[in-house]
Parts: sequence; C-alpha cells; structure tokens
Amino acid sequence: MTPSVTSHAPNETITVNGSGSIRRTVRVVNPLGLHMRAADRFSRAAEQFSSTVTIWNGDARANGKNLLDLIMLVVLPETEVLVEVDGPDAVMAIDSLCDILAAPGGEDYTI
Amino acid sequence: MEIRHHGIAVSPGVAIGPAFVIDTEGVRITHQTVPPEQAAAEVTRLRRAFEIAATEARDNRQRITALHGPAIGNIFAAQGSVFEDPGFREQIEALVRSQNYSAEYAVSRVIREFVRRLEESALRSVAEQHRAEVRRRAKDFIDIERQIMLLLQGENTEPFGELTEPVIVLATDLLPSETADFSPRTVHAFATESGGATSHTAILAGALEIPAVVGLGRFLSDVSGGDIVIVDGEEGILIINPDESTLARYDEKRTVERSRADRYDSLRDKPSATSDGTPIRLLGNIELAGEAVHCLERGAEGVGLYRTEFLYLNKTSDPTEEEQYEAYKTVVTTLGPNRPVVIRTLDLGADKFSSVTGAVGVEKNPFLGLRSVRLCLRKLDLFKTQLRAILRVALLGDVRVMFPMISTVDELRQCKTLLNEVKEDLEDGGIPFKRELSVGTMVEVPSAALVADILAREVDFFSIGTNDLIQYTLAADRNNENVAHLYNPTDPAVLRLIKRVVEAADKEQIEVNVCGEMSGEPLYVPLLVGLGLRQLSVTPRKVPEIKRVIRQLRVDEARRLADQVLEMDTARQVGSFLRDQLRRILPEAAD
Repeated sequence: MTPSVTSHAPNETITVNGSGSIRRTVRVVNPLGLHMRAADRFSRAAEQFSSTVTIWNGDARANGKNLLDLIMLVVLPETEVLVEVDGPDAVMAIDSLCDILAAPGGEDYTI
Repeated sequence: MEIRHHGIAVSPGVAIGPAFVIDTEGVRITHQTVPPEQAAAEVTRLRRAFEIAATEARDNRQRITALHGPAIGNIFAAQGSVFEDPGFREQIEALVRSQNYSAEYAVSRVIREFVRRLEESALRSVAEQHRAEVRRRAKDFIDIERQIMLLLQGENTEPFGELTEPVIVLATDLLPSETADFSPRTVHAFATESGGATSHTAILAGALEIPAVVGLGRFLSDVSGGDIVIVDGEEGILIINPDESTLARYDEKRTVERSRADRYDSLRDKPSATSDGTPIRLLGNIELAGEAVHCLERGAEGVGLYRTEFLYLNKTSDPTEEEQYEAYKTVVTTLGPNRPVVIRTLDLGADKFSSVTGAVGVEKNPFLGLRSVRLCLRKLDLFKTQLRAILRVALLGDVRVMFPMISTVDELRQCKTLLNEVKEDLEDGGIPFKRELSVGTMVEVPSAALVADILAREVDFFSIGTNDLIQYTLAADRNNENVAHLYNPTDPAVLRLIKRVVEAADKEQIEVNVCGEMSGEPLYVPLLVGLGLRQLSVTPRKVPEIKRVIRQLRVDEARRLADQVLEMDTARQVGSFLRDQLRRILPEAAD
C-alpha cells in the first residue's frame, strides 16, 4: 500500500499527518541511481537519526537504515522515490536525507 | 526445483555431477552440508570471516581513499557496510543452523539470491543503460561473495589442478589459464554463459572429449557450487538440480552411451578397409598436443590435421619457436616415427588474432579478407618462426606441412619459396632440420579447386577443407540462420569441385584427403569413397564410427553410388538418396 501524498511536485512536497511522520518525493539524479555507495551513504546518514526512515519506490519499500534493503529496492537514475521519516527528529532528518538523494553524486562521503 | 537452460551444444555426451562454479576466481565449494554437530563451528567460521572482511574493507577504504580519492575508496566503505550488516550475516547463519549448510554454501545461496533478484529487475528495465547498471550492482555482490569465500577457505583454497573428485565446471567463460590443468578424469563437462561454436571453450571441450554447452546466457545466479547439474552435450541443455525422473532418464542415456563406446572399442585394432579389401586411411584432426593420444586410442593411423591456432590464441605475445617446437614434439613423439602428422600453418583471421600481432584494422568482410595464409605472408617473421619449428621437429617423425586458404598458384609458390628461405637460414645457423619435408596445400577456396590440376604439380598432397569450400562455393555462412539452408555438403556444385580435386590429385599421383566435418559424418562416407577418396581425417572421437561404415562398404558399390549422385540436380535429392543408401549399408548408423 502506498501512503497518501497531497501533491507530487518533486523535492517540495511535505505532508505531515496525524502521527507526526513527514513524507517527501525526491527525484534521484545520480547518473548511476541509488547504487551501492550511494545507498551506503544514505543508510549511514539515516542511522544518525532516531526517527524511522522508509523509502518507497512505487509499491516497494525499504528500511532506509538497511543497506541491503536499499540496494534491493533497485532505484534507477531519474526515479522518483518517496521518503517517509517518522520520529522526534523527523524535520531535521527529512532535509538532510533528501539532500543526499537529490545530490548528483553520492560517492564522496566521509561518514 | 529443476531449472533448465538452453545453449549451443559444442561437444557431445552426457555428464551428471556436482557443479564447480568458477566465476568466483577459482574458489570452490567442496561440500554443501556439514554434520549437525558441526553447524556451530561453521557459524564461528562465518563470523570470523565476516569480521576479517570488514576490517580489510576499512583498511582498504583508507588506503585507497588516500591514493585515489573517496569516490574509489568508498567502494570499500560500502562493502564494509555489507560485511558489518548483522541482518545479512544472520540470514546466512540461519541457513547453516536450519539446513546444516556449509559456511561456503550458505554464503553462496544467500548471495546468489540477491544476484538473482537484481538480475530479474534488470530484465524488467526497458533501457539498456539501466539493465547494465543493475547488472553492475549484481557484480558487486559477486565480489563480496568472492572475498568471503577466500577468507573462509584460507589455506585450504584448492587450486584446479588438484581436483580429486569429478566435477562439472560452470563459468561465464573460461580463460586458457583456468583450463590449463583440466583433465577428463576430474572435469566431466562444462557449461558457460558466453561463447559460440568456435570459442576457446568449445575447442577445449572437443579436445578433452567431454560434453559441453556454451552460449547459455545468464545462469550462474541459479546455481551454487555443489549443486547437482546435468550437461547434455547432444541437445545443448544444462539442467540445475534435476528432479528424480530427469536424473533417471539421463542416467540411462549415459549407460547407453558407454555401451556404444565399448562396442566401438572393439573396432580399434581392426583394419580400416572396405569389405572388398581396399584400405581407407583414417586420420585424426587435433588442435591441442594432448589430443594426439586420443588418435591412438581410437585407432587413427596418424594426424591428418593438426591445427596450430590454439598456440596463438588468448596470448599476450605470439608463441616462440621453442614453445611451438615443444608442442609439435609432443604430438610427433606420441604418434611415433612412422605415423604421419600433418601440421597446418596458422589459419587465423585478422578478426581473432592475438593482441600483440593483431595490428590489422577491422575489416568489413573478414571472411574475404586478410586471414590465414594471406596474413602469414604479410607477417613473415611470424610465419618463418612457425616454419622453423616445423622443419626442426620433422626430424622426429613423419611430419608434413600444409598451407591453408591457398587461393592462387602464386600464393602457394610464395609459401614454398619462404619455406626454402627458412631451410637456408637453418642451414646457415647449423641447426638440424629435415630437408625433404613433405608439403601440401588445403583446397578450401573454389578457385584452388578449379586450378587443382596446376596446384597438384606443386605439392606432395592435397587436403580438402570442406567447411570453407562449402561456405565459399555457395557464398553462405552456416551460422547465419537466414542463409544456412544454402550451406550444404551435398550441393552438386560442391561435389563437382571435390571430384575435380580428386581427379587432379590422381593424375599427378599425389595423396588427397578430406579433413572437413563432411568426412566425419557417416552419411557422406560412401559418397566420398565412391568419389575416389582413400583418406579421411576426422575428429578422433568419430574414428570408430566412420571405420564401421567403411568396413561395410564395397568400392564398386560406392563408385556406382557416386556416379548416380553426380547425375542429380539438387542437394536435397542427393541428401535423401544418401540417407536411403546408408540405411541399407548400415541400418544403425542411419538413425
């Protein structure tokens, strides 16, 4: 099941529902998509937050803190994914996580 | 569950046995399961391997980042994360505990599942660049598997040459270095994802006389080392984890094959002669020095075609004179001093030449281009080196040299002139060689067949290469499905050329042989004998079968048969007539 989203404008949509989760759609522009290194960077960043992080690719979803889960989500270049963050630091998390997905390269990271 | 893949059958026979997957750089899974009491020890081994792998990945990240920057270094960071991922390791450990899988097999099963899922999603992608990207991700997992395997096996890594129990080798493709130590005792068959009928793998399988299927497409993600597989080299099928009924069927097929081989064994020491006593000399076609022994085992009277291309393929440099001499020497000494060994000089196209010498540009039409002897006449150093080795080794036995792809009389004369120059060089250098080396030419270009009467005065023997002769006469590539129907050994045009060549040879009283695939087919043997051929050179495995046909023939009958065939209008007519005749002569061979 797909969560409800109020608008589809990439990078801009923020929906805050009753439970306090934040969702945003992001277009992955990395020319290799969310490959192993980019996924590693993402999951390491997600680990820093206490909120739960879920990424939806169509009907499939992955735990944003689990590298293998993210790889098996098979996110190709120019795919729009939905990021859902739920927890006390959700507002901070959504920005920094979506920045990683929207960045042109995910290879240079030091985390 | 049973999985089937279809490919190209390149070497006949059936083999059943445990899979040996070598896309993981020679790493081998020796056993699938362990006794239950050993499961805990397997888990410990796993954890230890993962810990070391993670540490190595961290070290590599730092080292490589310092050297080449983070974009490359982070490849190891990502791999390290996989090694550290508790969920990943737990998934593998669960298989060890619940199924008593060995650590290696459990790793392979889990990773192959990841790879399989990635490849499935690759198939769903429309864009080629997306499919390629997903396959790259699958490769990342293969690399992870390889690292864990190497750590698990540690000192116990078993190199190929030391295989003690028979296996079936499965690979993307096989490199010459990987196959160097193969022996039919331990490698019972192979199957590869890539490759075609003339690939290295196919040649090697034929040489080892083991069943092989190539060009299967992607299948390695469906199989783990130790899985039971069947290679059906007749139908071109690979079956992974066959169910019981399939196993039983193939077991029987294998038994039938063995009994036929035993029956042929009894023919080995019987003379190859027609029933009315005309000897038909049966020789073997070989490619690897190690095949010489197959010729003797099958009762061939010598080597009618020793292809030398293998020495040049997949090398970083061309073989030296000594390397060639040693290979030729193996063949000659195996055959002994009195059996003929016909060495064919290099017969490579510019399209598949070894990297160092391959400075020839891409040709639009390679089969009509700079290939075979044409190339050798351009690369005189290369050609002379080979001729030196042949002239020297000829001292050890009945060695003969043969030039391929001759299309004009001038070309043949150039080759002979060069051979004489090499003799002078050897003489000047005081190096012993055989001066009276017997020289022959292949007849495989229609122009050569048409001037066979002139060529016959220049050489000691002819060998008709039917594969090329048919392809060039009918201008049809048999591997091109749109025109393959035109490629036909029984085409009247081909038969007239063969007849012409035999007549020219008879007139000059030189020997003539047929070394193409046509001579290895029982169907064509009565016709070839009828056309006057008294020598056939076939792949060693075919020798007994062809001998059996020969021993049922009478020369006068075969002549009448050939006369009738030469009156016919079409290949189809000839083909069905020959099938009827073979059924009459040797009913079981006609099946």
